[in-house]
Amino acid sequence: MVTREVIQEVAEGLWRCHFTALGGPCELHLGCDDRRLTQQAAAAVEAETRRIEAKYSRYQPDSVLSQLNARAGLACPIDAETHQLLNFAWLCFQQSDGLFDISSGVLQQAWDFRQPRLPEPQTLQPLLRRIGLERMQLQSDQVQIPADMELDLGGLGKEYAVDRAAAVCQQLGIRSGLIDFGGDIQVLGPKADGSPWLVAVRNPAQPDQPLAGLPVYQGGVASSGNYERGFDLDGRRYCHILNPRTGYPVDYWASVTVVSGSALLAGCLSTIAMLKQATALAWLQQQKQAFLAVTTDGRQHRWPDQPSVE
Amino acid sequence: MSQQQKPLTAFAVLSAAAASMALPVADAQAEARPDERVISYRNSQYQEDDAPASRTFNGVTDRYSVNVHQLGFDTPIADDWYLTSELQYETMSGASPMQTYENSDGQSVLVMSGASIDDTRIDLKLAPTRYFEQGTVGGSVAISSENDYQSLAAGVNGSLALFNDMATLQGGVSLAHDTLSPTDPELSTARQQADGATKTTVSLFQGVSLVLNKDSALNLGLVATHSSGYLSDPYKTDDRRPDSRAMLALSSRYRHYLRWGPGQENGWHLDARWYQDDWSVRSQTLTTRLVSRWTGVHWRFELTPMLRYYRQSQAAFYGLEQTPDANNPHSSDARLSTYGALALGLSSELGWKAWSLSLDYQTYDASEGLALVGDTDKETPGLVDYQLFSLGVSYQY
Repeated sequence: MVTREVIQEVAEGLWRCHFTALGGPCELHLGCDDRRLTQQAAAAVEAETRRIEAKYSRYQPDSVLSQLNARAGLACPIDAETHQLLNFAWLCFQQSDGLFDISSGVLQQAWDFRQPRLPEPQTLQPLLRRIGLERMQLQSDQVQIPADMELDLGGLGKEYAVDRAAAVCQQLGIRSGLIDFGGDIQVLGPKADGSPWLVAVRNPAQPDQPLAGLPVYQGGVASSGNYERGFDLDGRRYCHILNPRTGYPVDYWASVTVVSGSALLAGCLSTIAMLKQATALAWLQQQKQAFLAVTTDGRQHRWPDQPSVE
Repeated sequence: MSQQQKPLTAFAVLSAAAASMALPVADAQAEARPDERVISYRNSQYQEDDAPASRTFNGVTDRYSVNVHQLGFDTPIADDWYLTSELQYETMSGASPMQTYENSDGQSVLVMSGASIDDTRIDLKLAPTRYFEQGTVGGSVAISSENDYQSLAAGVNGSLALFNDMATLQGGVSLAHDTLSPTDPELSTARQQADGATKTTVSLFQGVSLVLNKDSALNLGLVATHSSGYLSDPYKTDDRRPDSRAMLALSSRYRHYLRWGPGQENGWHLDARWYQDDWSVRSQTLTTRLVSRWTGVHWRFELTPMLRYYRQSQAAFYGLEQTPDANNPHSSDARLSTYGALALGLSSELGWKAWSLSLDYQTYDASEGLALVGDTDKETPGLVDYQLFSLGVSYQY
């Protein structure tokens, strides 16, 4: 699937491959001496990514997720992979005291971030009533959601795909590299010379500029920020991360970046931190995972206090 | 009694789930120092059933009842240090068996201590643990004081996580030194001889925990214990036990997790223990539990029924002669006879936010016949049946 043109040897034994999927750029930086193996890995990663997209995209009507939403109100049989993802989403819901909720995607109907306009309360209210993952009944082989509920794996799917891509590379024996799907990152292992990858964290005030470079030897990195989608109105930033209880955007953090065991973990921890607003700082510290969080007024909090490369 | 379960951080919960999804997860972490402070209180009521009236010599049938108050406080004390502490206050009253002998009709006669014994006991335990990236090192000191018994104990233990936390080695050594000072020494020479007598116990523990797959884990442990000094019971008649005892116990604990959907998690536990000592007591224990846990956003509920079977064979010097040879070791203590026991229990725990409330009940029945194998033609009316009821509350912050 990946053509030779998009695989470049950018340095001796370091390959860059890219393709577009999941609504954005997907990049692999693989440390490997063997061009054929790199091609094989890139093709396998792209195939796996497209499989995940076809299965869980909410924009493809025949995806497993769309089918579940179409059959809301009925018990639907599910496979082991879907069960694991939904169970993970449930645990995120539980661990975030209900803030991380994959049934809150319906709020996008009220918010159009292309236009700086606030939704009417009477538009939000009926949508809020449809949210609440506690009403999902999940068993290992079936799931039932209420007839008015809609699930959206947007908050986990890309990170999951990154981790699956890493698993594919590891299975092929590639131990050095970095996988970057639109800022959700998994580092397979250090560079060939043993040095860490430098992962740039965006400056939320100027998203084109890096705020810091985090050296990462292995593991996942993900950022959640108010710069991704949103609009400014009357001096306030309205971003796409919405509190499922109020229906309004969160506004305490400009961005939260977490380095953890995998992209999926880093992603859910950073999103939960955004949703937890001011209480996130103590919560993040408890998780004992490296983070860099920036408030909307520009204050930075990081743990541990390791020097980063500016 | 039961160990306080530390709540897991969101990271711990989510990384365990991510790990089970066959995704690469770097930096698997060994056990991390808990961040929470936990205050807990538990009250337990232990009540022994009456001795059988038809087999007691002096008509005293009331046996022990014990009321236990436990106050616990666990807290981080420095960057990588965590301290668990417990203060226990016990009051006990009732009579206990002094002697059992076989009469000329082949029946066993139980001689109970005449007056009811009232005693109180205070225990204090402190156990600091240092957490490292790959394991822990801990210590413990305990002091226990009763009217007629003082005990000092100390120990060190450690654990080491290997192979990405798939295996954990545990080890420890503990030492206890007890001093006796029986009440009413004028009542018997045994009590006078025991006054100031001491007993020393050294225990070595080694274990390994293995994660077998994402749903099951196994722990194997071996404990070697040696006691020396005054090991008899000065309150019993003609109780002369050897002055040393070497004990060996092998235990295995198997855990199988059954995940039945969000908010519902079950676990099946099977524990087995084999024990033997150089008094020729051998015992086997089999315990099974089914843990069912329901979890909501702010609450959790756990219900655990338990069934335990225990059997042992008697000590070499156990006997029911009314006047045994004073030159040989002898004891008619029912706890050294051949018997078996069944225990049934039900534990429950309700958690709401930082609070947790637990209610436990256990009933225990021991009898000669339950030994199933071994020499059981002698009656053992000194065996005890009991009920244990406890109520606990804890708060973490």
